[in-house]
Amino acid sequence: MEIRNRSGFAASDEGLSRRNLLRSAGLAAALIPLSGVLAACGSDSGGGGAAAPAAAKGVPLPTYVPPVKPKALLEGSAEGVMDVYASFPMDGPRTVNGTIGDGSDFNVLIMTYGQPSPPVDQSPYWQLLNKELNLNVIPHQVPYADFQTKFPALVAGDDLPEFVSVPLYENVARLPQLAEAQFTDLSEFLSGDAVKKYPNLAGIQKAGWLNGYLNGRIYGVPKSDPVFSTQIYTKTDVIKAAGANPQPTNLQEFKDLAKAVTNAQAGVYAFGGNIADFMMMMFGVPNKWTRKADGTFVSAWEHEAFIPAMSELADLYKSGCFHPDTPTLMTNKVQRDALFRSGKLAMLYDGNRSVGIVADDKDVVFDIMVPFGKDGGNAVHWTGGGAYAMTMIKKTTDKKRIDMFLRVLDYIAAPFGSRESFIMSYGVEGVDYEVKDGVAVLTTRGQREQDLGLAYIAGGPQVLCDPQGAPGVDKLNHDWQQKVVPMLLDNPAAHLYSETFNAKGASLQQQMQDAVTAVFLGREPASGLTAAVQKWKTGGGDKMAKEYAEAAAHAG
Amino acid sequence: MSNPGRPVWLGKPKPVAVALKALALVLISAVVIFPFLVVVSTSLATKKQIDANGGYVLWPTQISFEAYHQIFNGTQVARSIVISVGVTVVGTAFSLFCTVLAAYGLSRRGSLFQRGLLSFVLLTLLFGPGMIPVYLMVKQLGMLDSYWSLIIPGAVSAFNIVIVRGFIQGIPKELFDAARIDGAGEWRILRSIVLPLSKAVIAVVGLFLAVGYWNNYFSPLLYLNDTQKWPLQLVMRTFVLQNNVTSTAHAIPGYVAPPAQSVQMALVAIATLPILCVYPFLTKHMSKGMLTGAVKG
Amino acid sequence: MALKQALPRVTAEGSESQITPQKMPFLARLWRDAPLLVMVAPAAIVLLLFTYIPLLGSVVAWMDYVPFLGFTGSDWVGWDNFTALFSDQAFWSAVWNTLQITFLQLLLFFPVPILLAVLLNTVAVPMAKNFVQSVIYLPHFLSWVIIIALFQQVLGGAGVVNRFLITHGLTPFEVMSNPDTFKLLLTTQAIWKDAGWGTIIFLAAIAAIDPGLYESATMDGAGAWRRFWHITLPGMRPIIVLLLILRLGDSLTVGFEQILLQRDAVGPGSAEVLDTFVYYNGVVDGSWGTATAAGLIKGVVSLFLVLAANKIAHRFGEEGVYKR
Repeated sequence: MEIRNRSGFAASDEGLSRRNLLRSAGLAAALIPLSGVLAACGSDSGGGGAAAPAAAKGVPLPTYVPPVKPKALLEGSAEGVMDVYASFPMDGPRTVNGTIGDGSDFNVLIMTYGQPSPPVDQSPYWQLLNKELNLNVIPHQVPYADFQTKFPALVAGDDLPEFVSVPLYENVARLPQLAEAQFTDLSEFLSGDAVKKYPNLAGIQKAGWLNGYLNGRIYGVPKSDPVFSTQIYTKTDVIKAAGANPQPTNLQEFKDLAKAVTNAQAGVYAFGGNIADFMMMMFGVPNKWTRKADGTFVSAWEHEAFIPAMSELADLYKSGCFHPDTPTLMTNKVQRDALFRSGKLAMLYDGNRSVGIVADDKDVVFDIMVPFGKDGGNAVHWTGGGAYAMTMIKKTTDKKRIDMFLRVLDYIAAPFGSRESFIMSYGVEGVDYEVKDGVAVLTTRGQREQDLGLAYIAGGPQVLCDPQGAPGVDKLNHDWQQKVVPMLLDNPAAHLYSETFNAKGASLQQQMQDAVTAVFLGREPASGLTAAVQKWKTGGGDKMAKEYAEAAAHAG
Repeated sequence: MSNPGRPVWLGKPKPVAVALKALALVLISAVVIFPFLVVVSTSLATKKQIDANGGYVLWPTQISFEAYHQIFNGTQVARSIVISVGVTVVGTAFSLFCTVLAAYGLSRRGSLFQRGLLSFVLLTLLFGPGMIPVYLMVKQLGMLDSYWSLIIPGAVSAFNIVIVRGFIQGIPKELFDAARIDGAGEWRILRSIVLPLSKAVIAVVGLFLAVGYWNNYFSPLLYLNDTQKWPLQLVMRTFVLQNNVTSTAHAIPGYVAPPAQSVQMALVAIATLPILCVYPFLTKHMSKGMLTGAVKG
Repeated sequence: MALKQALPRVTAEGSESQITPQKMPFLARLWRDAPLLVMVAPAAIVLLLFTYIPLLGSVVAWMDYVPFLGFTGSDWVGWDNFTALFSDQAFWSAVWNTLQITFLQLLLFFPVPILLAVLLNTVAVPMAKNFVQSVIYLPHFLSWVIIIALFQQVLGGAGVVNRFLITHGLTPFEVMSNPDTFKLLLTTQAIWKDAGWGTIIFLAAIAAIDPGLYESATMDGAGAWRRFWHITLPGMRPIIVLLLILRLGDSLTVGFEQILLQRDAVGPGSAEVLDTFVYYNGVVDGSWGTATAAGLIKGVVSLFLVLAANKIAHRFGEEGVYKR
């Protein structure tokens, strides 16, 4: 109705196409992370892009110096298994010495995943950090889902604050060029052994650094991310009641499980969302690209197992073990989660961090399914991009300022168990946290003040530590991670630069997602994917392959 | 007559017609109240019941005010409501001022530049600028981080001008002619004829504008860096979006579990109620008979 | 018959009873109309500052615009952004879908608020009327996420209706993910959400009708139907025509958010509209040029549609949006 379209929007804009569109685009960006599983991997390489065509040989990445860490309850591994701790040590060692800041303003663009922080005069946590850093921290908070809307405006208006943290799960258009034009090349300070001046930054691993490694130079300091991408949660009671086996080891057993738990009369179904990625990994489809021996790149869409995997997926859907509302549930994570918790879905396929959301309800007893190959044996497990945010400093030649910036990030990146890390995570005793049975427990106020978000702009490997969470979940996750490590598969193009990907990657990816969804829901036969892949190739896929091959050859 | 609201001239209604009409009204009311009932019920329900119902509840078995408690406890929701009310009131007043003046100014055919100015206004219905150029203009005018950035850039909508103008043109010409013969200037005509006779449409456009200002989260998102100045809709957005976070969670120490569906629905209820209160005040301007009264007066 | 002319509609005679302006010298006209120009000034200034000057930024339709390079630093690409759109078959499919949805909404949605307003107008019990008037626009305030979720809870594959059918041994039906009926579904959702909101303006139009007209018509023996046909409808006609023309001008715009949320369920084949197409083919790539080009195309199409619709309205003796 025009009344809504026009006047409803009249106050904010003239109801005109362009701005309406972009306004809604912000919203859309919010919805996309939950629109099915494909999204989980759809944007991870977006922040990538390294050696630009003309760049000279890149500088060495920062040297990795493993951080000193307290004894873990369950030890992680260099391959990415996360350490598990029962609780956060409250008397950890100092990892940062001396005064950090010079009392100046520290304007920083931060994604906010929660509400806006309480103002500084009402936030002892913020005051404490100001004191610790000897700075006046001024966060410019942007709701993470609106980043794609606000960021271009800030860039166009030259309004970016001095320090900027960008999310890497969003496709920041032409990030390498932007970095080169507006941000400081940190190579001199971070490349090779130089990073050792900032020991906590030296504790960040290569997979993280690659995200800030643009045009062969180091522009950003990453906030590292676990290497695992997605998990299937299985609801123990539902599967038990159906007398099924919650841990299949091949496709047939998987199908048997799905059929066994489905009970349409009772409204119970195996799944409520698209599991296309899971099927592809089960069939051994590579992580977006394969680099062949001759240096050429071939996309996963062209892999021989892709279409058979999708064909199985379509059959599974047709067999009726997906919730009848799956088409709409794909874009409604809230409802999907509710159905899983209440036992209407026996399985839930989601990003690996959802374990926290699932485990949030302590009454929900669940397990995590270990991936398997279609004929038994191992599946592949696609790794993520290595980091979810990175932080940069606007172009400056003031070396003291750059050094201060890195010292601030060094503080923020302090590893688990250190004094600094404890302060970042817990704030002021008696206000932000209380000690119960020797364990620090965040108060509601403490949780609120954490919305400052400063903790999420830089950091090394994360750990599993949730003393207030459901018992056993961290161990469950740890065990799962150990079993998945041998299946990990990187995307060989993740940090290579492709001009085509940079300009058209997101829309090309969408085309393929649409094609996969159509097959999944039975609108198109799986054989139709051949044409979709061909369209993807001529639309830019072939060019991307060529550009990746060149970039890889260049990088050596 | 048993019914005082019924004009004598309407005569006695047929029972069948009355029954049908009543049925229609009941159905319509049920259909429009249903979603809101679900929102309010879900906001008051327990997490267990919400989960069991797959996300939404029609009637809570057990009333819980936990969601409302969470929303107002230590957040800036209360503060942002005050901001939203302020922006809505000032913005609506400013917009109405511009709109009504322009509508009357453009209503007399044949006045100087009327055609050109009307085209100037109408073209903005068809062509709209991009977000970035508008942002740059707001910045140029020094309105970033000022509440004026929420009010002025979108204050004038050609649609509203056209609507009000259409109603003004419906006012009998005799009234204008008579006033002119009495020596009234345009400002007096506006005040003594146009405004009183356009109350209904001004009320309606005022409602459109108020709702627009109230629901606007986009301008504050773009123009306000200071989160303390955020109005309700933008603060609310951060609550609601939290539920969709899959990118940062759990593994981060201090991670806060996303708010329950009940909190989201409570927010919807809170954000809707104030603006709902506006409507009853407007209905009285939309009653019949103003025109005759004015003609006689 | 003074009352008859008190009808809130503009008649051709009414408008020509003005002083013929063209005969007056410019300065005299300026002197006479100065107050009117002053009245238009505030709105004109706002539009100039926040619409017209920023509209100059639409040059990016011919650019590969990159925000950090700015308007001066970005490359000119000629008509590439336009040809990229026109040469994509999916673009035309999206345009076709958009037009179909617009047509359906004009046919099924547009009359609903008018009928509702008329119905409400005939309700003589003030309590009932006030109550319905005050609640009828409630759904307008709920977001599409909620509206769609509620639709699914009722009509979805596991919704109330289908559960009932299944437990009674009947065949369930598929509404939420059926591409063939998707456009009807969209229209139904839109009616639910916004028809009540749309009645408000028609109620205002009815309120402007002189009740004396009804009175004298009844005296003359006119029944309810004739009163509606000869008094209510003519009273509402100018605003109906006005809104119809504006909606026609907006033919290429249909609920972006509503469709984006449901596009995956039925597929782009039937759900891709112009705005979602531009979103997935320009905005997600940060391609401002494409999005701006699409906006301009829409503007030009709207211009033609509005002019044509306006002309037709004039044929029927209506004021329309704009009259020479």
